[in-house]
Amino acid sequence: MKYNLSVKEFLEKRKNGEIDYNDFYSTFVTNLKRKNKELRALRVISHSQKGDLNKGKLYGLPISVKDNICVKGVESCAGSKILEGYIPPFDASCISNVKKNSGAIIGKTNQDEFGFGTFSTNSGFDIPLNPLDKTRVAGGSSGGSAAIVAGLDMPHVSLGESTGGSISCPSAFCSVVGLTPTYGLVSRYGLIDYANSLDKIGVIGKTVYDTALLLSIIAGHDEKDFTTINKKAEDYTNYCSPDVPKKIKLGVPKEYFSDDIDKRIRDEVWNSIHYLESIGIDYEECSLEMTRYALPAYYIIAMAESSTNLAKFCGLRYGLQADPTENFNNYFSKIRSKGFGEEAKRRIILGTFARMSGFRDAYYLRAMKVRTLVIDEYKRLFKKYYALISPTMPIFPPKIKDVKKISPIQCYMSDILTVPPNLAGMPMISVPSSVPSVGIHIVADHLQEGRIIKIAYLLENRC
Amino acid sequence: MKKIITTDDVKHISDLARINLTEKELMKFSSEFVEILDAFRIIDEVDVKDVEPSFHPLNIRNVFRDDNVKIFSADDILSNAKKKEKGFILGPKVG
Repeated sequence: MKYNLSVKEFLEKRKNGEIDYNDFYSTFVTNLKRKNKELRALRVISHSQKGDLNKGKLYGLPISVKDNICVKGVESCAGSKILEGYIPPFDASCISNVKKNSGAIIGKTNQDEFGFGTFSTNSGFDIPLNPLDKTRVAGGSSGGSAAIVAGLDMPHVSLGESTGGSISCPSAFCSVVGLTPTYGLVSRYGLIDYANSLDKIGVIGKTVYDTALLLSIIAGHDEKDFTTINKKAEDYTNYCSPDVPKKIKLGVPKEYFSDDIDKRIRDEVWNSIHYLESIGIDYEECSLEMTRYALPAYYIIAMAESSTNLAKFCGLRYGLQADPTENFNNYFSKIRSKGFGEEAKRRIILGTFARMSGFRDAYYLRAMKVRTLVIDEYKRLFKKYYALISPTMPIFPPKIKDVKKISPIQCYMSDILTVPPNLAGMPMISVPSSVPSVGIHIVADHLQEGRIIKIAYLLENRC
Repeated sequence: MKKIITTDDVKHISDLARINLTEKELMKFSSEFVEILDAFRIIDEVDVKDVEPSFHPLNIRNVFRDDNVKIFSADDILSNAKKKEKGFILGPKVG
C-alpha cells in the first residue's frame, strides 16, 4: 500500500521533502475512515490541526487521542454519555506540545467510560474491536487507541492514558507497544480525571521507537499541573539502540508466573527472558509479596478518588443537560442517573462508601498505607535489578459476547499484574511477543524510562 | 473486622451521590458490593503499624505561584452551557 511506512521512515521522507503531504493526508483519512468502520476504534475523526506541518519534530505525523484528553474544538467525552456534546475550549498540555511539534490530531479514540474497565466494553459509545480477532475485545481502557494503532498500516501514534493498566492491557491484547511513564512525568492538565494520584498520560505505538519519540515531546514540567516533575527534557529515542547494557540483571517476580497466569503466556515470557540471557542480560527470580494486596488497595484508592472527581458532573455547564425545571437535587440526580453507565455508578457508590466517616480509616487510609509498602518493595528490588520483567496480562483477550458473564470482581482481578506498578507510579512498557495478544511487561524505578525502552527495544529487534 | 455493606447503606450512599437506582440495580449492586468488599478485606492482613500513607506515588510538594489573575474568556467558559442568561448559567431552583 502507498504510504505503508514506519513512523521513522515517514519522518525521514518528510524531512527530505519526499512526501507530498496533502496526498499523504487525504490517503490517510480515507484509510482511517475505512478501518474505523471495521474496528469502531475512533469516536470522532477530526481535522483540528492548522498551520505549517512542514516543520517541528513530527512533520505532520497523524496522532489519535484517547477520548478523555481534551482537544480544543473537538468533542471530548471520556467515553461517557454524561459528557456527550462537550467541546473543550482549550487544549490539554500534551496536545499543545504535540501541536507545537507539528503533530496532526486526527481524532478521539473509544474507551471505557472515564477509564473504568479492562476490556473497553464499558464505553458509553462504541466498543472497539481487536484487529487480531474481531470477535474479541481490544482491551481497556485505552482500547480504541491500541486497536487503531494495530489495525492501520500507516504512520500514526496514539496518546493513551493509564490509571491501573489502561495502556499496557490493550497494547498487549492488540500486540502493539504501550508506554506508561512515571507518575508526574507528563502533565495531566486537560485530562478528564479518573483518579488524580494514579492517572498518567502515555503513548501507544507500533514500535518502541514510536512511543519513545512521542514521550520525548509530551514529557516535562508544566506550571498548569503542580504534580508534574521538574526534570530536564530528554530524547528517549536515544535508548532505541542495539547495544546491550553491561553487567545488568533483570528481576523476574515469581508471583507474576503463578498458576493463575495462562501457561502459554508464561512460557512465551520465559522464552523472551532466555533470549535476553543469550545476549548477555542476566536474570534472577525475585518476589513481590505485596502483589496480592496491591489490587484491593488500588481499587479502593481509585474508586475513592473517582467518586469525588465525578461529583462535578451535574448537567449544567457542559455535556448532558435538560430543562432545569425541577429542584436542585432532583435535577442533578436525574441527569447523573441517565448520564453515568453501570460501572461508573458502581465505582461512585463504592468510592463514597470507602471515604465515609467510620469506614475511611479501614479502607481508604489503610489502602494509602499499603501503597507505601508497595512502593518500598519496588524500591528495594530496584536497588538490585535494572528492571523487572513479567507477562502484561494473565489472560488472552476474551470474546466480546462473553464479557457480560464476567463478574465485576473477576474483571478487577484480571488487572492483577498491571495494577501494582501503576499504584506505585513506576514507568512500564508492554512490548509484543511472538504470540499474538501476549505482551511482555517491563517495569523500572521512577524516572527510569530509558531502561524500559532499552529492554523493550532489544526484545522487539530480537534476531 | 469491617462492616459489610447492606442494601440500606447502598440506598443511602446512592442518595448522597445523587444517583437514583432502580430496585433491580439496588439489589444487583448490593450483592456485588458484598462480594467486592469481601475480596478487598485481605488488606486487613497487612501490618500497617507506623506506616505513613502515600497520597501520591512520589513526594509531591506544594508549589506556589504569584497571585496573578489569568483571564480565561467568559464566552469560552459559557460555550458549553445550553441555558444561560446575561453571562450566567441558568440552573434549577434551590429548595
